[in-house]
Amino acid sequence: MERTKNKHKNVFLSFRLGKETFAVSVKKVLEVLQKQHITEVPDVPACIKGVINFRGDILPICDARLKFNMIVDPDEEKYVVIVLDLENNNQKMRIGAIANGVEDVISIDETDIRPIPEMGLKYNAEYLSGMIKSGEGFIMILDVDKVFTNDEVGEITKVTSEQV
Amino acid sequence: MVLVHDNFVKHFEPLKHGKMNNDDFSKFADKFVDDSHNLLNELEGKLLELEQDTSNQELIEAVFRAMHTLKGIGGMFGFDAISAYTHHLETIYDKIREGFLAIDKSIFEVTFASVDHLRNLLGDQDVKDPQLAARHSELTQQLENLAKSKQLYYDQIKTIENTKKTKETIQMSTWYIQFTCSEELIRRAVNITYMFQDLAKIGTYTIFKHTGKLDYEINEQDEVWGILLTSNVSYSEIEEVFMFVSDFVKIARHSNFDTNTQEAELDKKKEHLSIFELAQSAGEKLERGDALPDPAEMTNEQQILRRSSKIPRISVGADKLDKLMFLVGELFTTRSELVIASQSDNMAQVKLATEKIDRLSSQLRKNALSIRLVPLRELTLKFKRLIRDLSSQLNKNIDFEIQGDDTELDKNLVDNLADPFMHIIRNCIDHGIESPEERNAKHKPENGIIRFTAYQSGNYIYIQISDDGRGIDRDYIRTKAVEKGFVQHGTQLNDREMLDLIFMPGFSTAESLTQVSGRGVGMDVVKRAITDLRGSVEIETEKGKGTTFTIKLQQTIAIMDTLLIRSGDSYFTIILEEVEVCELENHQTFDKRQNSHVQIADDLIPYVSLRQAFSIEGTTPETERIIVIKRPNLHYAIVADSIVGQYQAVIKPLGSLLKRKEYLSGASIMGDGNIAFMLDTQKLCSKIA
Repeated sequence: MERTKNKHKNVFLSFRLGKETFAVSVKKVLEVLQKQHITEVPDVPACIKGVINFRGDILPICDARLKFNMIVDPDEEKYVVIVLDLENNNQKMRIGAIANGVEDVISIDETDIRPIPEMGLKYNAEYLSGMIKSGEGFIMILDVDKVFTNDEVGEITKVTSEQV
Repeated sequence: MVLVHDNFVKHFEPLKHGKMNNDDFSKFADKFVDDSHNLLNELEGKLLELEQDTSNQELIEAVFRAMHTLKGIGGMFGFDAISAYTHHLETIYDKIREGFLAIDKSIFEVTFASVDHLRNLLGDQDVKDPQLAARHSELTQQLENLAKSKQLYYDQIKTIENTKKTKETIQMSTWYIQFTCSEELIRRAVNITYMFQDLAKIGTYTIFKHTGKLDYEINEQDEVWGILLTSNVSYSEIEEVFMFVSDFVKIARHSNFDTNTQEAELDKKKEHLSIFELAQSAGEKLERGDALPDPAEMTNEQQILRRSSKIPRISVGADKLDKLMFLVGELFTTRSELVIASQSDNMAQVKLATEKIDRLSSQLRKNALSIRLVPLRELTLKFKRLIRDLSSQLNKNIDFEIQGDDTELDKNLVDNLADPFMHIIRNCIDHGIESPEERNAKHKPENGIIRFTAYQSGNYIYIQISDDGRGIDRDYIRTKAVEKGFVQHGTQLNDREMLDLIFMPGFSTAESLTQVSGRGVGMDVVKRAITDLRGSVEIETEKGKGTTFTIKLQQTIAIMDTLLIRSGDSYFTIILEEVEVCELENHQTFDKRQNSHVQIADDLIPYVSLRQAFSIEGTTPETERIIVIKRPNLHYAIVADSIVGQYQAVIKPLGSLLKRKEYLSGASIMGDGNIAFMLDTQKLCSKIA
């Protein structure tokens, strides 16, 4: 009866993108893979690094950092691929998201998830579903369904002019 | 015969949706939705037959049974709206079946509308959509009126019926069946729907949630249902229905009379004790009987079972599965042969076994593909319905002739073909077939014909839809095309090019917009949908005689013979049948050319260089390969670094993230783990500089 015990606990996987820490619900995570050869796909948006063979299926690999307008070292030695099961408009989709590394599995009470503040956010609030307090700072919970089903690069970062 | 009356529903609150939200249990609900769609298809088919032969008692019974089953299982799974709605329908067909109500056009109309409505309800069981809700109350009202309007007639006959019933009840008895619905049933893949269909054949039954005490423990997720069955059959016959689930069922005779008559009496007295207590006492009786086997077994492995919802199902002929089992058996025998041979270092034997495995795997592949094939009958049923509705709407008389609808096609293809075909048929009815008056004037038979023909030839499936209507007027197309600016005035077009004009986006030849077709979208959508499935459409038409659409498709698109080519580090595949010829050419000569054409034999044809088109980095080799593509209306060359060879590609979808990469239509994983992309030659040619 493991399930009933965790009924009101939410479990998240935290990971690093650049210097920042994000979290994603473990329900969405299928597996975390180590760096491996990625077959490039010609003529695609920059944030799609290519495809890999994942359990016999073609898995597109998306570099979330490019979506967040972060600078990526093209020769980086270490990264991980988080395999996510997404759902958007009833369409199921599986993708691999590149992250600098995974940090921790956090189990947290539903009541401890804080709402997104309206102001002063670097990222578009639409793509975040909450925040978790961690030490001095906060970990942002990504709504991966929305982040990765959106093709536009850089849209995640709020356009500053909009705020004025 | 009325099975769930209002008192009863209030008392029991059969199964509330809250319960259904339970994760594990919702799998049953998914299964229900799936089964219900099948049931509705079956119902629709029977209705169409019945419409042709309204006096056929067997068909009426079949229609009634399908409704009854739907209502019963709908209630069990908490699809209350469906259950309640079907109840109204069933009431009407019950009267028809008993001969109290004559079946007429208005009944058919509302029944067909109901079938559509029920399909919608399956997607929105709580009737949340306001439009659907409005439709729901409108149709319910119609059904109630229909039942009421014939009530007078019905009441008169009731007296006769009652006397008849008393006679019948002599052999009738009521059974109480306690049915434990547990996860184990899903694991065993038991088809509950069949069970209840069988049950409906032997008698009438009512289902409700068992509320009495249980003498054994059940799981949180498990449901216990009580079923009151009135029937004249023996214990063993009922037992037979539940043969496969006997562990979950307890059956006991409750009384030697028909509960339905009792129900009617209760109705009269307006008393509320009703079947609720009846059922309870029945349940208690039962509890004194044999205990069920230890249900603790059922709890095991419960966590393991986590199937994703909404799995489409295919029914497969047993022969194909037998063959599969045989092949798997053979494969394992050969595998152990191989293990033994490799342990003893016997090279000759290893080779022998490898060959055997090679042969077996190709047989296995064939078998696996055949399992995915479904007959086209799934489609023709939909068309029958469409033609029926449209012809009455447009006041045209149309006969639908079907030939070869047992031809099999990959399930995916069949699912995707429905829409384009519906569109073609809609066009045939709207533009093709003339009105009866016009036909008379032309000395044609009054009834128009739409013919569906399907056959297999080699690796291809041909599907033809033809009508004997007015045909397509070529001059009219030409005028229209010039008017719309698709072609220049005076351009010479051959017949094929001319007819292909109707596949242009925005080309609509209908003189006035009708409800049915002719909004300027249509034939181009048909063409695109079919091209997406790697098929082709052709039109033949003769003015005054009719039009034929021929669609050519590959039976399956999961595994294909391709040509594997390479440019830089990227691998690509091209469907072998699209390749006409391969040539060598020196890279230097390409660079010198200005007009981006290559000479092949005596022809100058345009080319697409993969390196240029996909901005592939690295140095281009001295000599490059030219692959000449030949498809109808398509003649150009692809330039690649090298040809790797012929390759049997298992095509995998690229996923929705890459769907917009339209030059690539799929990918396959090669033996060395690399991934090769399949080129869509149709779309790639737009890259010609």
